[in-house]
Amino acid sequence: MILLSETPIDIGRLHADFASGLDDAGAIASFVGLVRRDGAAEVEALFLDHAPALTKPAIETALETAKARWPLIKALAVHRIGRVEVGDPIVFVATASAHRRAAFEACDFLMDFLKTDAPFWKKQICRSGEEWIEPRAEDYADRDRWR
Amino acid sequence: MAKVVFYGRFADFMGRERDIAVGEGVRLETMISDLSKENDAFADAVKAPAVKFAINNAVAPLSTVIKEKDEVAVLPPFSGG
Repeated sequence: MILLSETPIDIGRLHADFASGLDDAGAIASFVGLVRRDGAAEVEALFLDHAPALTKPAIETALETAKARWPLIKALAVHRIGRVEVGDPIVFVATASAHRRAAFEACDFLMDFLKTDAPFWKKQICRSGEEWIEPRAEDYADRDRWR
Repeated sequence: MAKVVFYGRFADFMGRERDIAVGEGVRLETMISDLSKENDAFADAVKAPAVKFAINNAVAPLSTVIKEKDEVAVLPPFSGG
């Protein structure tokens, strides 16, 4: 399941909802990405642009790919759009499986996908101005581990 | 007319969207080349290898011929998470 949210997301509630009723799961792995101040840059917020007709289908495809590759019982990706303040969650990914390795790896795979292959565009809003951010070489290398 | 939609930094350079008249057999690369004449920053950034284009919500190569009523999305390198 994929959810795009224009308002702050409640990680505790998302995790509790995800974990409820998973009688066959022996493991849940989850990841929370936060907007960080980033020291000297003094980031105040990020702005997330997305393409409504492209973004959700791309993430749905990635979730299906993860389910085909690992024996997942359930997978969820929640991503903020719009302005996200420093300290707020920008992304939440959770995976559930019978055993931990599949949950860990699928969660890692989905985050690598979201960093470089999901149609989002991230602008850093600092005290000194604004700047669009693109993935680092490490982000592409992380993504390529799964190919 | 075709609709062209710009995302991310490209929207800062070109505005979010516009309608463009399309001639017979015009390819996407020609449309992008014509748009590049309007803005040097766009002209430079759109050449980056990770830039993608979508036509009617499907990623398409620059050789694609644009038709009436097509929606063309100009997509900077993706950056989520």
